Amino acid sequence: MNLTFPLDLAQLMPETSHARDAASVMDEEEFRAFYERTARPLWAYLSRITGDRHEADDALQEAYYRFYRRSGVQYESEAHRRNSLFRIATNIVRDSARRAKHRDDVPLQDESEGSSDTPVSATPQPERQAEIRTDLQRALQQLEPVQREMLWLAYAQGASHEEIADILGLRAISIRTLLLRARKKAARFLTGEVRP
Amino acid sequence: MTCHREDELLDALARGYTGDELREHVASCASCAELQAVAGALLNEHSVAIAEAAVPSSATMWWRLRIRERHDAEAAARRSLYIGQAATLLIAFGLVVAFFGNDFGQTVRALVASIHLSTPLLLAIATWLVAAPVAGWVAIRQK
Repeated sequence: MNLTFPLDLAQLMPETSHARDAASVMDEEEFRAFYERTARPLWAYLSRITGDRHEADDALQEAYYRFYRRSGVQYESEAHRRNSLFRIATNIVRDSARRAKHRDDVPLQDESEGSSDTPVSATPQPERQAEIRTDLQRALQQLEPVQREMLWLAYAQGASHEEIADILGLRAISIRTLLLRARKKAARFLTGEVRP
Repeated sequence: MTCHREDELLDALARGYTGDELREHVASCASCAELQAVAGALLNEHSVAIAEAAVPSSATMWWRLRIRERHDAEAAARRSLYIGQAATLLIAFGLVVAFFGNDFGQTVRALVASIHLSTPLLLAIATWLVAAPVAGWVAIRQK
């Protein structure tokens, strides 16, 4: 069979499609526009908090499916909708990590030589950038999952404390302290003060 | 301990440019140096991750979601059907017991007692029980 996109599945399953369209807030066009806006940042988040591209791929699809299934939910704003998606994705990763922990404890890779003692500049050289990336990946793996999530949301995505609290299911008032603690820990690994 | 210029530094890092004055401040402020080390590295990693993100197209994702939704709906319908069948059987059994009451047990016992198993019949049943799996295994192997 030769499938071409976009495929109108309404023709294949008229009853379910009709029932869904009646109840759903998010139609195909809206979903696709939302996906275009969020898929890459979500994948970036998932790949960096899991440290695994394949796991990120799976979690991405699962997150959108769960999000889509509850698309009858009314969101106050685009940010709220986006935070909801990130919260679903975060929970998927946490559940997956919990299941994996029961199976076995995965050791952390890499024992190669560490980092420089000098602070990073705003625009480092390409070689130094590659070094920093390795250091960062190693540092992220040393952090608690919630610290990784928090740092990524705060500094890579520029999320506010309220948004971080919403996504991670924490109290907004505690984010500042937790973030500072995570930042200090990451900085110790990045500056070579502590070797992973 | 944090510095009051952290927000300013974060904005500058996001823009990709920290002026001389701010750079001098960062060099002398432990909190800002720490922020620059972490946030700078994360911002750089974010750009790399966004560039390397190989996500499916929105059309593909939409199609996958609808297909999966359909499969889930079918599975849910099947589950409901099994539950309905089990409930029907239970109700039917309950009705039979309710109508026949104690007589039902006696009827079943009488029915079982009326079956006379002869030796040739037992042998035939035993042979069939042994032969059927062997025949099945041979058929599968040949296939």
